[in-house]
Amino acid sequence: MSRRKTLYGLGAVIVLVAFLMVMPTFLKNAFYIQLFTTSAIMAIAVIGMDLLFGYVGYVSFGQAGFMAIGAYTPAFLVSKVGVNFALAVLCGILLSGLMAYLISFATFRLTGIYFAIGTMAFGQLVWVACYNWTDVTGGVYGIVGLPNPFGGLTGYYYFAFLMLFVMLFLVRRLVKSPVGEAFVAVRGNERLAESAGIATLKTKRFAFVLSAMIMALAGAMFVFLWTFASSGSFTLSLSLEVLVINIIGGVGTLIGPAIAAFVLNFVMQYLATVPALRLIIYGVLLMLIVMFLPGGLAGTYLRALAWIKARRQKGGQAGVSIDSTELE
Amino acid sequence: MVQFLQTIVNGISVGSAYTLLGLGLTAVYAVYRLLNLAHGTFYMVGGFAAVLTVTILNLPFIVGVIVAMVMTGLMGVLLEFVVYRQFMRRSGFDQLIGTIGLMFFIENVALYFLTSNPRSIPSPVGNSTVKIGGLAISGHRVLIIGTTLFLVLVLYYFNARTKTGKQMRAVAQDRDAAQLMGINIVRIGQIAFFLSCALAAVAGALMGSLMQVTFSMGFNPLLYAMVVVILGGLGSNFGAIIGGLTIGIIQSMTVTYVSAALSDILVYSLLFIILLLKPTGLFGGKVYV
Amino acid sequence: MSLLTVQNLSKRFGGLQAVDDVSFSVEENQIFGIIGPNGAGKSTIFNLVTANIPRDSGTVILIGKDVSRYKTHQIVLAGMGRTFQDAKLFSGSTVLDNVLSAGFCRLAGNFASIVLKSYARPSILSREKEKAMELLEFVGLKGYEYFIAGNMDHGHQGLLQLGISLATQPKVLMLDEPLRGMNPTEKDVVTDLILKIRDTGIAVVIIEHDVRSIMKVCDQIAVVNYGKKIAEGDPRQIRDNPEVIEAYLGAEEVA
Repeated sequence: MSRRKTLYGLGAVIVLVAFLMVMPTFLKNAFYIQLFTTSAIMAIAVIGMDLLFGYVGYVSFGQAGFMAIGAYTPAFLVSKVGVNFALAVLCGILLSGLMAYLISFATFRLTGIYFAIGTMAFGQLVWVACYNWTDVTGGVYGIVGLPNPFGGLTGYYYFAFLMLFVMLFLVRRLVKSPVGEAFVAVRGNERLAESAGIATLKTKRFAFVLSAMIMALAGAMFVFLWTFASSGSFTLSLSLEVLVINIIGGVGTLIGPAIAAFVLNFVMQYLATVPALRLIIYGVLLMLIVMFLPGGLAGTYLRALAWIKARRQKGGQAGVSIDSTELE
Repeated sequence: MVQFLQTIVNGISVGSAYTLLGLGLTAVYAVYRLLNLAHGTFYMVGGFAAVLTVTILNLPFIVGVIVAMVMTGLMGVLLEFVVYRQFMRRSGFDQLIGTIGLMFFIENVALYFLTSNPRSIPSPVGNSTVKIGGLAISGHRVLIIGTTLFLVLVLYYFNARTKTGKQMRAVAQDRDAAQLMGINIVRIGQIAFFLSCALAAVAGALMGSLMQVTFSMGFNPLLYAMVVVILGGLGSNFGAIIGGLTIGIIQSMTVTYVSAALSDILVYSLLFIILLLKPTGLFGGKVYV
Repeated sequence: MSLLTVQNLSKRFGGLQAVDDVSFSVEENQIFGIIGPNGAGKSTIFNLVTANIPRDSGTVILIGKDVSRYKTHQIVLAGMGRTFQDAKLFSGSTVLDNVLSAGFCRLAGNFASIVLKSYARPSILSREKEKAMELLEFVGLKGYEYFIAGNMDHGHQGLLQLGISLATQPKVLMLDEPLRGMNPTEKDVVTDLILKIRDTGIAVVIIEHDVRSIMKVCDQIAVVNYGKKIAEGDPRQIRDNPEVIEAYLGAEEVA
């Protein structure tokens, strides 16, 4: 990676950050600030999803369950027990991670679609618990009146973006490290990875737990923004929505899904005047991507880049088969 | 005791609907090795077709059911051509995701055009009850059980005795070999889809009298239907029947004696346990028996 | 000193005794060959040793340590590398990434430490890359680092498999039909490489069908038929062994 490119990249990031920081003062409109904030939180959730799906290659349908655990725990602790916000959220994250760790012993005996269905079952069970465990979760009514610890929408906005950048940085560093190579190896060929000395079960479990914790954070951030926690928020539909954004953004690229969270949220505001339209658009996008654009938007972008690059190098393209006579 | 038996019978009637859904999922799975997550929407479309035929066109219930079957079946064939065939070019996961997209699409198109007002189909047997030895079973439930039984027998006959049915079993066992034997697997695929959608539509039409017809009516039944086919074993018709009845009875018993929440808990826990102990289900591994 | 001792290895698949009480021992600096007709159970023996499938019975002692109860990746960490018959690669990744993934396991003792270590110091990756490049040069894939593994021809894929297994820093290397599907030129390249590997102190166990190449390269050969070891000895002894000749009668061996 040339110095200039890194410098450009860094410069772009700084400009972006500065822009985002200043934005609330320009946008007096609370509606837009809220929009940006929810997009940022969704982006965090999708990053968590991409870690498991894009890098290790396991699709989960149970995200909402981990988000719910991450949301209800601090909701309960803060409103009923009076625990400090940060500590409560941390508890939620740890609890979610613990749950992920525990069920991983079961779920990783499954692969592929069975894993997805198994995690779906988990997500559903969590939902049922949220809906019915009235003492703790407030049952149908949920927990209301959650305090906004940042004294206002703008404060929350900064918090959300701060967390987003932190998550992006941390996760990106993880996947670019040898651990990330292990993830990709497991996704590429699990048997070979095992024979290459990679502790595949531990690797998968690690990713699963991390993913759950990131989603728990997102869940917590959502409910404190909305100031209420309701089981209706954490259904299978939410799990699928996170999955959809991940796919549309580009599985395995981290940035793609994060950007997609923003783009889709904004697009939905304008196009989907009716809630039905939102999902119609998601549905169509999903189908189009599956049919024509695997890799989602980011994947297509990368392929386009590679195509342009290949055109520039006349006749040279990584991956061309070599005639065996070239072997010495 | 009476209540117990009553609950069992209710469970069988609900289980019949699950069986129909399960058989539909199995048909597509057997031929395409794809778990069609959009299947719940076919159930819903069937329900709507029936309710509109009966309430707006004022045609008899049986016509409504047939219209539902044919319309939904044809819709399935159309979708197979336009959408599913493209999905099949991709990996297994992508296919699943494609079906999720289709599910979102169909469900919400229905929401958009038909609004969320729930409707109901008046049953052809009205409020009649059948009295057997102290039990009073709703006439409509008997209709459901009877219709399902009839369809199961028809399906069995189709699979075992007709040429097309045997061809379908061949394709289910080994696609390539079937093709080499001169079987038109494309046509078989279309028939499988028609069958799948028709079965789902009947279920939707029948249940539309017991429950409300609305855009989201297929969502929860689909989830339970997935448990049914996993429990029974992907690809096994017999498993779908057994699984459907089992889940139906479990649901009925828990709802009556405890709560709806317990039903969910039991069913999803059962799913989890099956996946752990025997992911291929009770009769899985035997394809399309 | 014996690097690998396998004793009383057995496995039954339903009605078929795939591996029947097989024992052998591999010394340091030795190239040990396992030959036998198709379906004799040779690959199964490998799978049993590396715990890719569970054993009905038998012990495996690697460099003095009893690894019989270890999981596959633990056996690899203990010092055993292996390749597969059907050229298992990370086909979507680059050649360099293939080798990098395999070297990862040597970063630290256990998974948790590896995570911490690699996360705390991102510069680790560039050092690993250097090591990987050197390894690729050793196996003869210099210049191919950024090729997509799945797009290479069979010969190079075979070399890559060797690279991957070497990246785990094994003391014993198990090669399952490394010469499969190769033309004579490619075979010579690979056998030279195997000799080179042996010279670095790694013991090599090879399953092969190309009896001629095996005879050229191996110090000790075991012959397996119907899951049983029917003979063991140096190439000359094996060549003259009547039971071995009989086992191969009717079976191919065109060289």
